[in-house]
Formats: sequence, C-alpha cells, structure tokens
Amino acid sequence: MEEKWEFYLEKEVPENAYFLVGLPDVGLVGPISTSHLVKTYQLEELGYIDSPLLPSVILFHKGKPHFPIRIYGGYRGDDYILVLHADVAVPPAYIHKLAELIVEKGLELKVKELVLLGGIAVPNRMKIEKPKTYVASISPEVMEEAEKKGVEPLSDGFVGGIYAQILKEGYKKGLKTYALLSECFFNYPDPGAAAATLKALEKMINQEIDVSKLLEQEEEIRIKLREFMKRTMEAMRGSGKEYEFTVPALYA
Amino acid sequence: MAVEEWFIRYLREFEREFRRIREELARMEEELMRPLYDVEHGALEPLYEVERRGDEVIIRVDLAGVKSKDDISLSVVDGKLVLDAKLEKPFMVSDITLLRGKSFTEYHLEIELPPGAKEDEIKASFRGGMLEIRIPVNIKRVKVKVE
Repeated sequence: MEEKWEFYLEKEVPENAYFLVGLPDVGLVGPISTSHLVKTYQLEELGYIDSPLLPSVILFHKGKPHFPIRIYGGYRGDDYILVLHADVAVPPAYIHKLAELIVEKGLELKVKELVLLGGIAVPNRMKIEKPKTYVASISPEVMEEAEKKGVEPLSDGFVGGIYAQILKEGYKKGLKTYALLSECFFNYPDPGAAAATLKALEKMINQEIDVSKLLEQEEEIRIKLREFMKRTMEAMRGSGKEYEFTVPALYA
Repeated sequence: MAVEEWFIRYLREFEREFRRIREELARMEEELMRPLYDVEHGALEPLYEVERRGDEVIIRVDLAGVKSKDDISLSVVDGKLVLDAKLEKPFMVSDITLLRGKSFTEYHLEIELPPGAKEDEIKASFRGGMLEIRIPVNIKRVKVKVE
C-alpha cells in the first residue's frame, strides 16, 4: 500500500506556536494530556492527519464526525497553542513516516517548539504517589534549559517508540524538540502521570494548566480508556517501546 | 513403501500443525476483537498483566472505581481464579451511542491458574485501585553437573 500521508489544516496557524503532541503509548499519557488541554484551553479543531495506512475509523462525538488524528489550536494569552491529538495507535511500521511529517509540518508552520507529551513505564508505579517527570531531548541545550526551569533531564536508559523517532527527526532538521515523560503504568491508562506531564509542561511554556479535573476524574478515565489501552498495546508491539526496560550495551 | 508411509505421516503432522496455528490465530483474533464490556450481566472486564518472578506468578489487575477490599471477591474454582469486584458507583457510558443507557456495576474476570499453582497459598493485596495477586508455584528443579 502506498505510504501517503496528509496533514490538513482548515485555517492558518500563526508563527511561533507551541506544537504539543499526544500520541498513544504507555499509559496513554499523551492522549490523556492533549485531550485535557483541548478541553481546558477550549481549543478549536483545525484539521487532521490521515493516511490509508491508519485503521479505517471515524469518530463520532455529539453527532459530529472526526478524524482519529486531529489538530487543534487557539490562543492562550499571547501564545498560540497547537495540539496534535490521536485516538488511534500508529502501527510501528509507519512511525518513521509520521515522525517525518510532524517535524516537516512543524518547520513549515515555523513553530517555536515541538513538545511530545508522554510517559515512561516504571515497574513500581503502584507504589508511586506523585510520578516524576523527565525531559528527553537530543539537544544538550534543551536539556539544560529544562533543568533550569525545574524539569529533571532523563540521564540514562532508552526512549523508544514514535517519540524517539520524532526526537531524532527534530534534531536532524534543526527544530527544537523535546519529550516530557512521566513515570507511568505500562499497560493501564494513567491520568495521574498525564497530570504530572502537564505540570512539567506548565514550567516549560510558562502557561498555567489546571489539572484538578483530570485528577478528580482519574478513576472514570481509567475505566473509560480500557479498550483504547488494549488496542494500543497490541499496536505497539515492535515499536521499540520494549527497549525502555533494557540496559544499553553502553553500560556493560 | 517406507517412503510412502513417511510421507503420509509427514503430511498428517503438517496438517495437524497447520490446524493448531489456525486455531491459535483464531483464538488471538477473538481475544483482540472481544469487547471488555459484558452488557448482559452489567460487568466490565478489567485490564490485567501477568508476571513470572522466580517461584511466583504475579497478576496485577486494574480495578479503577472499586473503593474497598471488602468489595472484592476472589476465589479458585476448578483451576481458575475467579474475581468479582463491585464498583463504588455504577459506570454509565455516555460517549458511545450503542452503550448509552447501559449501566455497569462490577468487574468480572476469570484466569486459568498456572501449572503447579499452590492454590492454598495465594495472597492478594489491594491499593490505589490496583489488585496484586501472588500465586506461588511448584517448580521441578534438577541439578545439572557442570564438567
């Protein structure tokens, strides 16, 4: 099948936007975060990403059809917030192309930063009350900047899956790109980790993000997203995410 | 004649293996397609994971919405672990038209016990909506002499 990808925007997006990405992965931290941002900031739906390689689904919400990977945007004070939210997992075979598309579009729209919102699975998550958030980037300057803003850099280990590919693409093409990854469950939806990621984002982009509703609805979100989590786990096999529990040979 | 017999045996084995793989794929597909809602009984199937650690099999079950350990019933029935847990309040799905108006009041899960499970020594703990079940298993150990 032809690897054709489309990034469609109905409206123009101003330059210097913060481009925030929430793709399904461990704990569904990304989509839980972006869904909360869209609701809290009351962002407008601007367009979609589509490809014949994605699962053939259309989402209906309040009678209105939506593409499963959507773009939202809106002003927050003087800053423009652009959000990419996905309700389907991307099969591992296509993550390279999608990563390329996201970075190319970020450059074309002249965004200020490309921020990947997600999680990093830890085996003892059950015992962690307040998950830690780490920043991961290939650029040492970005890591330093994040540390100064109070977000701990990820110092050792693998980052796997589509976010690793976007980090690489962003670095190669000169776009400021970083991931905010909170300690999370591997295969259970984790709104607590999403709240931690959003609080780290608050520090990075200097915009207040109220996560109280997210924490209040934590249990309800966990119940609601069971099916989505199950499909994501199936789709994630072979994405590189399994490396995150691996000790790199570098340390042997 | 011997070659013919061998060939027939080979074909039968091949057919058996092919059938086994087809059944396994059908089982996996069914598992993947099966929804985690049992509308008829108003029960949800929880997400769970299984980990093997030494002489133990650990099963972790996400029981979001269950408030107390007193709302959980866990038993072993004919080699299966049977879990029922009551939700603190009924869960209604308002976002999906086909499930609108349906109410779910509990979780239900049945899992085959691993071979060698010591049924009388199974322990469980509940914290933050997560149930952890520890199943000790008998492991046959044979010492191998290294020369």
